Order: sequence, then C-alpha cells, then structure tokens
Amino acid sequence: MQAQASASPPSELLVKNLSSMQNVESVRLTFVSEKKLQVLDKPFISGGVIIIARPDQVRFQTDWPYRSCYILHAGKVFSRNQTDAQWRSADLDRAQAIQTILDQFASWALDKTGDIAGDYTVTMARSQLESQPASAAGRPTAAVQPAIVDLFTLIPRDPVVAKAVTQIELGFSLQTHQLIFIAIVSADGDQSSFWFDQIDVNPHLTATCFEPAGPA
Amino acid sequence: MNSPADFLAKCMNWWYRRLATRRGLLTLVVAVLAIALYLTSTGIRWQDNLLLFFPDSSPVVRDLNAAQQQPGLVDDLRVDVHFTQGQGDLAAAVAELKTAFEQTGQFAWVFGGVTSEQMLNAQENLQKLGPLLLDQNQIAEFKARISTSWLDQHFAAVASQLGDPDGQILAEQLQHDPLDMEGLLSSGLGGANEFGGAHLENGLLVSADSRHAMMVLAPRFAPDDTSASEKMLQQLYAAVAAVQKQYPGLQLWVVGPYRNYVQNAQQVIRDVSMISILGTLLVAAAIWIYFRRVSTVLICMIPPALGFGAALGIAGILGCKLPLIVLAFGGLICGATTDYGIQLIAAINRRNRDGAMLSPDAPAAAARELFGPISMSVCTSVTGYAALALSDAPGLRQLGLFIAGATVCIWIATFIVLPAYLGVWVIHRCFDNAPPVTGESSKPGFSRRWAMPTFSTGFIILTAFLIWHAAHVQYSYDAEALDGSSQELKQEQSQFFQVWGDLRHQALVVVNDTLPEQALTDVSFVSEILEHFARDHLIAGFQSPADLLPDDAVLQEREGAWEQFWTPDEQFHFATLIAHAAESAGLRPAAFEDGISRLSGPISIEPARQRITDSPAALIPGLVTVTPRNVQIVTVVNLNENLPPAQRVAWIPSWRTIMPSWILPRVQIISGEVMLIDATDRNADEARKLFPWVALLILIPMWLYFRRPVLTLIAALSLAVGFVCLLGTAEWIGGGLNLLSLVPLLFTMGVAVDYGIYSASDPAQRVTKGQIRSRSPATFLCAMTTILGTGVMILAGHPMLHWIGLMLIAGIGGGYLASLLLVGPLVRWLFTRSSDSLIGHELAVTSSRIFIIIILICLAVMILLLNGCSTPAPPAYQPPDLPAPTADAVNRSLAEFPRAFDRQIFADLKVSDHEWSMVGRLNVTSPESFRLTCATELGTLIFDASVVGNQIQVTKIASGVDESLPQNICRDLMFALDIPRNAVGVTTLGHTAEFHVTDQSGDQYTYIFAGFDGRLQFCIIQRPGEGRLEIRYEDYDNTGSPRGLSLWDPHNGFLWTLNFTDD
Repeated sequence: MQAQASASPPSELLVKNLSSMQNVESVRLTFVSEKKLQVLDKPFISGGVIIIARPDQVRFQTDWPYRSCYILHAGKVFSRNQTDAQWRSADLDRAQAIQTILDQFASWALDKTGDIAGDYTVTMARSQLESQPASAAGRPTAAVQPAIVDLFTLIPRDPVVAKAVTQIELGFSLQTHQLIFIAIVSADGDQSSFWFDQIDVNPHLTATCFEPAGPA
Repeated sequence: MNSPADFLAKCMNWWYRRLATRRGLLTLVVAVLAIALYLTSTGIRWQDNLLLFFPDSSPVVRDLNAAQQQPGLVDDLRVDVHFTQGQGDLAAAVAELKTAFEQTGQFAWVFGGVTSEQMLNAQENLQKLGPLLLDQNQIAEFKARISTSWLDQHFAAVASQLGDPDGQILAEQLQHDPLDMEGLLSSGLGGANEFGGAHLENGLLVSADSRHAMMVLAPRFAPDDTSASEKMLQQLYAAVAAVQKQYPGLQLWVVGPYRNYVQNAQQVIRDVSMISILGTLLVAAAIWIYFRRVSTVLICMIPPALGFGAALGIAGILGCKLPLIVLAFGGLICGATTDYGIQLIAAINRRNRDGAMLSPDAPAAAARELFGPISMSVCTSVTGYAALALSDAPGLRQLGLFIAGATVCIWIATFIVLPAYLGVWVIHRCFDNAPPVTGESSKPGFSRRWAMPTFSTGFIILTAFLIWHAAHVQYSYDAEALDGSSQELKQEQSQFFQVWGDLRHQALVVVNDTLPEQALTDVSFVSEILEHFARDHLIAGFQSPADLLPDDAVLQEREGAWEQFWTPDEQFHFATLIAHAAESAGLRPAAFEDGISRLSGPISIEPARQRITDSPAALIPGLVTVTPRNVQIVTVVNLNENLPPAQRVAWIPSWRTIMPSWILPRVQIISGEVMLIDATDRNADEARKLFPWVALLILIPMWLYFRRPVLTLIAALSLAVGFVCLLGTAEWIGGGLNLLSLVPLLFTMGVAVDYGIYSASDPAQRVTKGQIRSRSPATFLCAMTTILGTGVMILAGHPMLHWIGLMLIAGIGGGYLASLLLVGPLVRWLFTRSSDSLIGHELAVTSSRIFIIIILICLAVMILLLNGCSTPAPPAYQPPDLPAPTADAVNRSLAEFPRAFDRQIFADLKVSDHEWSMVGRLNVTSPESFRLTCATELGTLIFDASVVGNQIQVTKIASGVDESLPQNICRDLMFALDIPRNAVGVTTLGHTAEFHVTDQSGDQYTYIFAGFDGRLQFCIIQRPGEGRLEIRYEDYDNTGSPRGLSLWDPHNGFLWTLNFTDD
C-alpha cells in the first residue's frame, strides 16, 4: 500500500471523484462481497449485481452462494429469495435499515453526495486495493487482479453515528474515477467489503427491473 | 280624568306635544345621544370563537381549558410535508421549515423529527429495561423462545441472510439479542403511536409509505385567541412560501384548531357585516314599498336605531363581552321592532281613513291604542330572548340578554320619542298619497272568495306535513354542519386524515402531574380501565405509552420475577441451547457469550423522570411532555364510530366513576367530538326544561291581557304552529336540531306569538266586516320586515348562521301564517258566536294590569332561576293492551327475576330543587347486600353507598349533597330488589294481575304484573310513617331482567329513574 499526498483537501477530491457520475442516469455493478463478522469463524463471501437508477431505484441481487433480491422502488422495499414463493414487502424495521443501506449505495454510486465534509472526517491515500477473495465457493468468474486506487476513509463526525459505524472506505479507479470498492467497519469490529469489477454506465434496463416481479 | 289610564293619556299628550314643538332640539339630542352611545360601544369586547357556544359548566370544556394551560398535544398544529411531484428531499425540507417556523417566534416548540441521539438513547433505554417492559404475554413468549427448536430456526434464518444488504446488521443483532427481545417490544412501541402506520425514519416521523413527513407546532397561545392565531398563520404561510421557493413541488397540509377558529371567525365577521346591512336595507325597502314615503322609513327606523345603539352603548360602558354573532341579529332586531312604528303609523292611517279628526293628538291616541299589544309583544319577545340567559353556554347567555335588553330599549324609545316624530309627520304630511288599505271594504270577487280557503287548505296541509316531520326530529351531532371553515381547509383536513388517521374521532386522555412517578401510576390506571372499555366495545381501541412506561412498583415486581427466573441452572441451559443453535447454523458460539450474560444479568432502573425522558414514547410528538415542573402523558382513545353518538361517549362517565377519585383532578379528557356530543345533549336537555316555563311565561301575561282563556289559547296558536314549523323544517331540510337550537326555538317563541296577539287583539275581528279597519295589512308588513330582517341570515356563508336564518324563517313565517289563517278566523268565529257580544269591547290595558304582568314575569323568572323544576311525578302506569297474565306466568317471571348482578347504570334523579343525571354501578349480591356508586355524567362522584344486612353505609359523598339522599335511595332500592319468589293468591283485573302482601312491619305491597310472560311492572308500597313508594320495572330482556326501574318516593321528595347500560 503506497500513500500519495495531494494538494486539495481529501473531501474535495472525494466529491470530485463522485462527480464523475453526475451525468449518469443508471449504473449496473457486478460485486463480490466479503463479511468478516464476530459471529463467524471465517469470512462470508457472496456475489451478485447491484443496479441503481435515478432518482431512487435500486436492485440488490445476490447470485451466489444463494439467490436473493431486494428492490427499492417508490419508497418501498420488496424482497424475494430462492425459497420464497413470491415477492413480499419487507417488515417495517428491516425495510428501514435496508432502505438506508441501499440509499447510501445509490448516493455513492450516482453522485448524491450530500454534505460529506460536514458528516465525515475524510482522509485519502493512493494505495493498492486489498485483493478480492478469489477462492470463494461457487464464484462464477476468475479473480480480478488487485488495482491501485484512490482510497478515501470516512470517519463519522456525529458521535451517535460513530457508535454504530467506525469508518467507511471508498475506493475509486484512477482511470475512470468510478467507485470500485466499499468497506464498512462497525463499532463492534465487524466489516463488510464490496468489490465492483464490472461497471456498466447507463445500461439497457428491462421495464420490470425494479418491479417486484419474476424470480429472485 | 281620575283613572290611571286617563292620567297616562294626559301625560302622553303633554309629552308628545311638547316634543313636537321642539323637534329641532329633540333631533339634536337624539343625534348626539346616538353618536355618544355608538362611541361608548367601542368598549364592548367582541368574542369570535366558537367555544362560547359550548356550556362552560361542562366538565369536557373545563378539561379543555385546564389542558390548554399545559404544553403538549392538546392544542397544536399538525403539518403534513410532502412533494407533489416525485420524491424530493423530505428531510432537508423539514429541517428548513423547522428553522423557518422557529424564527417566527410564534411557537413554544416545533417538532420536525428526532435527533440520532434521541433515537439511540431511546433504543438503549429499551434494550436496558427490555425484560422489565414485557407484559405477561410477552414474558410467556420470551420464555417459549428458550428452546432448541426456536433458537435453531432463528439462528439458521439469520445465517441464511448474511449476504443480504443488511446481513451485517442482522448478525450483530443476533449476537447482542439472540432471543430478539427488541422485536417483542416493538409491538409495545406501535401501541403508543397515535398516528396509525406512521413510523420514525431517519429521525423523521413519516407515513406508512414514507412519502409524507409530519411536523407538529405548538403555538404560544390558545386557539380561541383568534387575532393572535391569524397573525401566527400569516407568518407561518410566509415561512412556508419562502421554503417552497427552495423546494419546488413542496406542499403542506396544515390542520389544527387554530385554522378552524380563525376561518370561522373570519366567516362570521364577513357574514354579520353583510347580514346587518342587507337585513336593514330589506326592512327599509319593505316599509317604503308599503307606505311609499321615505319619512315613514326613517320614523320606523328611529326606535331600533336608538334602542340598539343604547344597548350597544350600555354594553360598551359596562365593558361587556359579547359574541360577534350578536351583530347578525341586528336584522332581526330591526325587522321585529320596526313593527312598533309600522303599527303606530298604520293606526293613524286607519283613523284618517275612518274619518276621525286628525289632530296633533292623533299619535298619542295611536300610542294609547297600541300600548297594550306592543307591550305584550315586547313582553313575549323579551321572555323568549331572555330565556337564553338560563343556558349553560356563555355565548348564548350573552346573546339572549343583549337582544332582550336591546328590545326593551327599543320599546322605551318607541313610546318616548316616536309619537313625537309621528306628531311632526301628521302635522306636516297629509295622507293624500297613502296607499289604500286592502281588503275589508272592497267586495270580494270570485277569485278572492276562493283564494283564502285555498290558501288555508294549503297551509293546513303544509302544517300537517311539518307536524309529521317535527314528530321525528332528532338532534344532529354533525360537526361539519356547524363548521364555517373553507372548503379548501376541509379538503386539506380530509387528505391529512387519509394519510395519518382521522384525529376527529379520537379523544385524548391527558395525565398531568408534578411527580413523574405518580404520572406513571395514573397512566397505568387509565390504560387498565380503557382495556375494559375496549373489550366491551365502548371504544374502538386506544394507544397508550403505559406498556413502555411502567411505574416503580411494577418495575420492581418484574425485576424480582426476572432475577428469580434466571437461576444458575436456567443460565446454563440457555447457554447450551445457544451454543447448539450457533454451531448448527455455522456460527461461532463464543461470540454470543456477552449477549447471554447481558440478558440474564441484573438490570439497573433509572429514576422515573429519566425513564420517561429516554423512553421511545417520548419520540412521538406531544405524547410525553416533560418540563421541570410537570409531566404530561397522553393516551389516545379511538371512539367507536359504530355506536350511536350518546353511547359513543358513554365510556367517559363510566370511566370517571370507576377511576379513583384522587386521580380525577390530574386527568383531563379532550375531544372535539365528545365536546360536541356533550354540548348538544346539554342543549337538548335545556330546551326540554325551558320550553314549558317559557311557554308559561308567555301565556300567563297573555291570559292577563286577553282575560279570556280561549282567546289566549287561540292567540297562542301562532306560537304553537311557529314552533312546529321550525321543528318540522329542521327535520325536513335543516339536518335536524343542534347545539344552537335554543336560539331559533326561543326567538320563535318570543316573536311568532306577536302576530297571534296582534290578530287576536284586532278590534276588526270583533265587529261586522268593514266597520273597523283591520290591523292585518300592518301585521303583514310587520311579519314581512321581521322575516326579511331575520331571514337574510339564510344568505350567510357560515352554516351556523344559515341554519339559524332558515329556522327563524320557518318559525316566524309559520307563526304569522297561523295568525292570518287560523287565529283571525277563529277569533272572528268566536266573537260571532259569543252570546255576550263583545262588540266594541276595548282591550285597553291599564297601567296597573301592565304592572301586574311585569311583576308576574319577574316572579316567574325568579322561581325559574332559583328553584328550577319541582319534583315531577312519573307518568301514570298504562298496562299493555293484552290479556292479564296467568298465575303460572307470574310465578315463572318471579323465579327468573335476578337476585344478584353487577351492572352499569345511568340514572336520572329529580329532587325538589335539583335534577341530576348520574352514572354508576349497582353491585347486588342480595336485596339486603349491595353497593351503589353514582357520579355525575362527567365524573364527579356524588356518593358511594353500601348496604350490608339492611345497614346502609355511605362511604363517600360529594360536598353539598345531603347524606340522607343516598340513604333514602338505598332504602327504596331494597324494596325494589326484594320481590317475592312466588306469589300465592294472584288476582286478575282487566289487563293486569295483582298480588297483595303485608309484611311484619305493616308495609303493604301491591305488585302488578302484565303481558303474556307475567313480568312485574309496578309495585306500590304503603309504608306507615313514610308514605307511599312506587316502583316501576321496565323493558325486560329475554332473560327476565328489567333494563330499567324507577323509584318514586313522594315522602322523601325524589324520583329516581335508572337504566342498566351494559346490555
């Protein structure tokens, strides 16, 4: 990991990176996720696709090791997994948490930045991205080589938020300035990381992409 | 010239001649006086809020006033914030609005959501106290979760969702709360939320679909301060407009009493201006059309202008509070009192046409002729208006007294000043251009011959139609019918209620206490009692924070039970199960050790104030308000809209009866719907009580005036028909009667009878046609001016004024038509048939007779005010038209009669100087052992008495209530409950069977049975030394229990009627 100093404040550089997507209406991200949790002896690895469209539509689809799908549409959260017979609305408490998470993903992916400098203390380092877990069971594609990224670390300023989330890392490609990595570390020390290896900007989306219809 | 009447005539002549010769000076004095009075009228404190028309003695109104003294949910503005197109940034818009609202300085507090810190504190508090917040059912559910099957399934479910967006959160929740206690508790939080489906989302209170956010604003003043409210609303909308510029598509729905009060006040102000001016112009136009002289219009207007001005001036000097709608009755006053001038001018006109010498004394002669009828008219009108002074509603009292006072002023002005001007008019104007008096002198043609019978027939049919409707008239409890708010506001309210639930059908039970611990205990009591009502379907449900806020005693009890449950064995068992579930799900057992020890470890309990402040219930706006000196906790009750209105609020008196008396002062019940129903019922009760007295107060002077009962009753037909027309119209097209019914009812009684008096006292009715000119054309004009002046209210935009206008048109119009089509012909027929012909009989009223009338009215008013109603006897018993029951049926019925029960009651107690409605409970274990608890309808305890083995003990009694009252009731009740189990020697008599028995103490009982099933209907007991006691048993249900009974005890002077209300 190699650090590189920058003349501009990190928060401005972060906004600049996020701004690269400001003219984008939708994006399709293929992801690999790794969850390092206290309740697990070894990390949990999964993968799938996230599709985000302005203003507030998100499809979070896990393809492996099991199939499940969450859709944020018209302010409501719908879900279906491989064992469900049909789509259902998430119960209130969980829907709220999921909506917050999906909204946050959409914000970072599509330049809905908000007051980043006010909400977080931002630091930046140009460094080699941590390797994806390549040997995950059931993974359909080959591992992607580690890349050099602009890695921003966001520390919540609000002590209340800090009680839940210790830090967030956002990694941006040096070439495209697209978001290719997210890591969220909780106060308990649990960590969820996401690598985005195929990013389609303004992809062709089917009419039912954000509808609670079809298989998960 | 020795009689008082002659002396009065001499004085009048002298006065009018003197004034007539100094008319310039008189005009100047009148003008200066008028200006001075109108200037002093600025001292009147005009009131424009609708609360004036709700009875101030009502506990519901008192509760509202008390609750308004405390900050909280009672009076606030609720603001729905949303975007019309697409989804805008609600959170940012709400934050902006909150700042803008706070900057206006108009609000004590503004709720725009909760902070993350508040959310986290609430969540921590919930988790910390969690086990102690679980009720018995939840504890049972919690314990059931400590099992292999539940834990294995729960852990496996979480493990299978780790890849979900919230997988990390699920894992952490499982780690800290393996039994999902938070999920169990969330049902309790949902129960505290008054806005159905709403929830907190990122600190915002949002609707179920998350598209609407709610803000709550608490102004610094009560909503009845309409001028302050108007200013506040202006600033609020200015702030909204500024924020809307930043957020295109941002829309707000603002609801709350402040807007309704302001809009109603504005509508009333607009209406009274229009009505007063238009009513006066219409009256003037009617007079001009009839007389064709502007001078006549001016003369007729002098008394109302002077009298009304004098009344306003005096009210101003005294600094009186008057409701603004008084001004809407300016047209009524003008229309009703120009009658005096019209009758005087018409009298002079008749004398002129009859060829009498027209002299300067003619006005005095006319005044003498009409002094009686006009004074009678004033007497009846004032009686009707002033009867409103007996109303419980301050607005109605002020209205009635002011209109009565103004009428008296106008009467005085009529006889002091008007004939002087008439003198001027007579001298300087001849009657060359006066219109011909229609009718009597001309020979009727065919069409005219048939017109009157046709018209009369039509009137009788219409009256019969209205009588049918009047028989079915009901009181309406529809708040919309009295609300003068704009359609725009009503639409906004409707949209708001669709999103957040209909607040109009809710009541707030507000607990206020200086001690937080006491407040929690009170809330717990409230919740417990409301649960009973919900089970009995008296209420649809309620949302209480009680589950989330148990008091210290409950907490300590639960804490003990919790510690007792977690024995070392139980902890080991639990840990083993967790380890198994974790391993089965592929999770690490060691990660759950902290969660297990936290759950089974000791719980620290914070002080009550801290618990309240940190409770999740405190996140809901206004539900919990903690200030250094007070804690307010609100329970929201959903009224059961499936019940009829009277039963919809029946839970309130029951609740107050059951509630321990020491809690009552700390609890208020606030509900617009409850207040409306209560006020309407009270108004109906007042109308029922006042009607016979007011009718009597009107009829006695009339009888003294006419001296013939038949003539009095005929004249009173105007009143009766007017009354029926009003009631019939109310049922037919008026939407029923309402809480303002007293106004048109009493005004109609006072005014409609005038036309009967004019008609019955018309000398033309007693002579052959054409001998004397009739007053009927002048009376027609009087009626027209009154109906026009009053009826213009029908054009009001405010539904309340519109309704009053409609009712007055129906009542006064019906009264006039009755005088024309019934009273006139009947009086003519009466005098035609009379053997002692009264042709030429003068009904001149002497001053002594007027004096007697006034004394009688004053006496009657005093009796009415001081004594109320006398003890009424129950109506005579009427057996059903069925064969008498057999002895077997009687004995079966006696066997079925309940000997023990515990039931709610609603009772009506009439004693010699008072009448109470009361609610309570009658718990009977035997006729010699029962408990009777009675409270007023809205909760004040009257007495609590027990009977054990014939010994009566009064344990609680309200101050001012004689202890002998409950003792007498209980003693009589023992007789009522102690009926024989069988009857030997039953005799039949017509439709009834009777059974007689005499007990050892010499009391003689007569039991009367009726109907096929031989139910006991009536019991008469003759008690040596205590006289007669009559007991009525009524309305049996199919189990053989009476639904009601009444005790009439003339010796002790009361009638107690009770109904069991828990069917």
